[in-house]
Amino acid sequence: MADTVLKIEDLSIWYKTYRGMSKVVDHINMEVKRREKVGLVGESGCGKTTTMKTILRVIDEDIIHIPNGKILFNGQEVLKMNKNQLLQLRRQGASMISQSPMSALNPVFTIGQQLLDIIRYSGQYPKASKKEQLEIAKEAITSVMLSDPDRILNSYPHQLSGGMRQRICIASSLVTPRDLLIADEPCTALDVTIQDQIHRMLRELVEEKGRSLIMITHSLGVARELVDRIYIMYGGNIVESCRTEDLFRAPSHPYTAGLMACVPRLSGGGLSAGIYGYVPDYVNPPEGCRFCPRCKDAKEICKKKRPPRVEIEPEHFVRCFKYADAADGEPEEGGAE
Amino acid sequence: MGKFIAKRLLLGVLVLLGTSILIFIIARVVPGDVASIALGSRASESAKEALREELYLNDPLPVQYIKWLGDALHGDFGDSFITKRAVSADVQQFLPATLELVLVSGVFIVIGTFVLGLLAARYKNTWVDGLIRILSYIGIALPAFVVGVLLLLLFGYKFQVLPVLGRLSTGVEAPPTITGLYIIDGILTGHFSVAWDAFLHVLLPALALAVGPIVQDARVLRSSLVDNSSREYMAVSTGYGLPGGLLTRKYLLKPSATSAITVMGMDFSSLLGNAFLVEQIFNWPGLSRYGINAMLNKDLNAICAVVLIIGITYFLVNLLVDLIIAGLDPRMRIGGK
Amino acid sequence: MSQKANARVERKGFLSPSTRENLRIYRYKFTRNKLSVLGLILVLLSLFFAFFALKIVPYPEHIGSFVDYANANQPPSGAHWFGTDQMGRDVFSRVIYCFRGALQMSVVVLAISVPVGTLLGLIAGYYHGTWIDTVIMRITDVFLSVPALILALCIASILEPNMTNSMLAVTIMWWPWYARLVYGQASSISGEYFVKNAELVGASRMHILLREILPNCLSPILTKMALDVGWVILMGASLSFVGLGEQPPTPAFGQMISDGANYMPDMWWLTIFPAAGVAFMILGFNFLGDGIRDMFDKGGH
Repeated sequence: MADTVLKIEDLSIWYKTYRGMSKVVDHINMEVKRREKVGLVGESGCGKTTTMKTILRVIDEDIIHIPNGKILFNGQEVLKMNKNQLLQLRRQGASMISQSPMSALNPVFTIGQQLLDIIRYSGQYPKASKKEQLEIAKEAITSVMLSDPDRILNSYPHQLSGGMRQRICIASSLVTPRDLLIADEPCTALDVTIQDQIHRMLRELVEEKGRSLIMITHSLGVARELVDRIYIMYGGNIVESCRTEDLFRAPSHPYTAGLMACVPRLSGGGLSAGIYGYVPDYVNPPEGCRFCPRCKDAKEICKKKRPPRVEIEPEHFVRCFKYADAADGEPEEGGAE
Repeated sequence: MGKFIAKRLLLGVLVLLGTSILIFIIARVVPGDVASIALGSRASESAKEALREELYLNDPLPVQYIKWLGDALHGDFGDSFITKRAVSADVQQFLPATLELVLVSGVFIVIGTFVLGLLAARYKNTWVDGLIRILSYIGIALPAFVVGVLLLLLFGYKFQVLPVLGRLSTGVEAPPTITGLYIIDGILTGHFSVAWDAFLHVLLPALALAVGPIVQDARVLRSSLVDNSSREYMAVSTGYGLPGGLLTRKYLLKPSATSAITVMGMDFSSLLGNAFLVEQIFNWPGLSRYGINAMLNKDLNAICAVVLIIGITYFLVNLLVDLIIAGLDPRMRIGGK
Repeated sequence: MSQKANARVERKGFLSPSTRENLRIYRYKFTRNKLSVLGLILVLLSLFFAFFALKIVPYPEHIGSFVDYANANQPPSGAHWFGTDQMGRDVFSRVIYCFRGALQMSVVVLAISVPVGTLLGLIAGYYHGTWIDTVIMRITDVFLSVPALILALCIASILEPNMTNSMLAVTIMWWPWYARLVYGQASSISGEYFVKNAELVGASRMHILLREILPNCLSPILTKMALDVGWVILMGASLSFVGLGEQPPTPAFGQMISDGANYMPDMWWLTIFPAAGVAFMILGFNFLGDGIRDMFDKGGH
């Protein structure tokens, strides 16, 4: 157990909407080991961010319902944590870099005020004086390759550029020791050139500090550069998970194959084949495999039964009937509700 | 910040200059024969002529205005047509009572708004929130003068628990004058019982003025608290394990307060207007009651002075509101970095 | 005012199916909040009272200077739902008649101040940054530099106290709000491409102001108008409370409240019912205004 930081078992998350339950995350399994870098890849709206926000329980719990599943963080059940355990988890267990650097910082406090509160309440420096805390903050700013930390600590978010704000978000996630860092598409809002810098920096910092990383992205290329293992998510399901090199060697789920075909190549060759259709409706998801309506390999059985999770080679799991007998299928649960 | 204030002050002075022209037109040009209004139509022609000379009515209008403004800037608004005293002396006598009333109701508004707004947001969509919402509808529907009449009856005549007329009970002597505000003077000079008596007297009229703004502004604060609580930066701060109290008091309240304070500033306009009616109802010997009597009796000199003073007060309050908002929200600081 | 807007939308509805679809969306957004529907009902009732006051009240002659001391000072009863006043007049009849004056005032005030304010705001917004903008908007600032009620009181008191002059006083205080509102909208819209386009193809200024910019300012104007009917009624009541509005014997809300207050608390019905009348109208138009705002609201599901 000791080397597993995060383990998600059979987790489903539903949003309450006026049309009924929206089953955004559906029976997913995931595992992150200590010092491991894991990628979570999928289109926008497939449930990546929802899952990650649930790990830290920063999602508005009035509007979600979790019918089944467990999240284990260092062996403790996150969904059953009391207030103090939850604070402990957020202060020392995991932290998350938001998708939107522009709105992730409170506009009416200086960077310094926000960073110092994080340091003060992390509980990791109980004896540090104000001056020492300030030193820690400055060091964090320098570590994300920003010059003039004094000026930055005294700046308000609107006085900084998007790239600077994203670096500060990274700095505040890394300023105190934590086991796991969740990076939620940290570069979507930024220029390509800055993206590359930030990714590299992120990887170095994570390795240097011995953290585990979950990198959420919609780009297989980014994942390939950064992570050891990849989870492919589609429509609330994890459809394929394996080591990075295995994925690129043998993409096995039709969706993964489609994703790879989507990447336009700089060398030309016209537009990619792509995947037709849209992400499914989560209130009334397809009865069988959620990818079925867009899948070019779909068979009759795919429309009726949920495909099982099959280990096609060591540590390589796929949810697809291509690799299983029809008898193994599971009926969609809770579909009638 | 200094530049910001200087700019606002300069603009304010220009606008107030315009206000003075407006008042001059209303009080000197529109009424026609000012001398007849002042002295009555049966006054002797020589007396009228003397007054015309005194009020520069024989000069061309622009000259009249400049001379009138010059006098006004020296605090000389001429004599009241009714009390036959210098208007400036009347103002000096009546202004403190109005300031006391407006200040106390201002304090009520600030406290009431924040208490009710925070409660409604904290218990959103429960009966507490519902009750405050219903109160806000009542606050919209009942004009301040109706609230005044109702309070007067309920507390003054029906239950007889609070004094309803004037600033002090009969037989109680006013404290030595320092500011002219009885509550403050009473406390400063150690006449605590007088201060208490003055407070009891100001309670009902101040409440009549404050009730409407409190319940409406509380709704504004509530919705801005609710809006901001679902912002990304709140989820991010929560994710860092900051304690709940700190999150609400600091990270949520500060960005949310600006909208409530903006509407409070706007409400101040109707508060000053409503003071004219409420002082009349509670027989409050303030500038507003003096002003309304001046209006009803066409006491033109007094009208000019009262309206100009109200305009200046309104300007100063707005300046204060702008400063508070600029203090709270760095994005509002014009001329900042 | 909302009637007019609905009528316009409806007429278009016959033209194209997509407009009919829009109408359905408008109706959905409006009726989503039950208070908006309540507001519409209150407003329709107010209109009904205002138009047919003389036909529906039980004692039309009590509206003027009628005296019946035998029936004076009676509490509410079957014959006099809201009781009678010190001259024996039926309070119910008088309160219903007040709706007429209140509505008349808000219609007149808005019918003058909205076009004036809108036009000035449009011009200032279109000539954003020029001396025209400066002159118009500084004058607007001057009118907004003193609380509206105080200047209205001031103007009304210097003129003869009567209904017409009180309407005039409120009108003079009301246009600046629209000038400021439209100015903000127009100055941002005038920078948009479709306006620049119209300029390039040589459209006249009149065309640009009225056909390109104005339609894009309409929804906030309509929303504000619906809300403002309530506020004009409130201001009218405040003026008449101190005697600067409709003169006796014709009744008005403020005047009845202020007269009745002298007989409180024993004859509470003299104050409570006119106050309820004001509340009825203000709430109605407020809820309606909120509904119209929801209707024009682009987002939200």
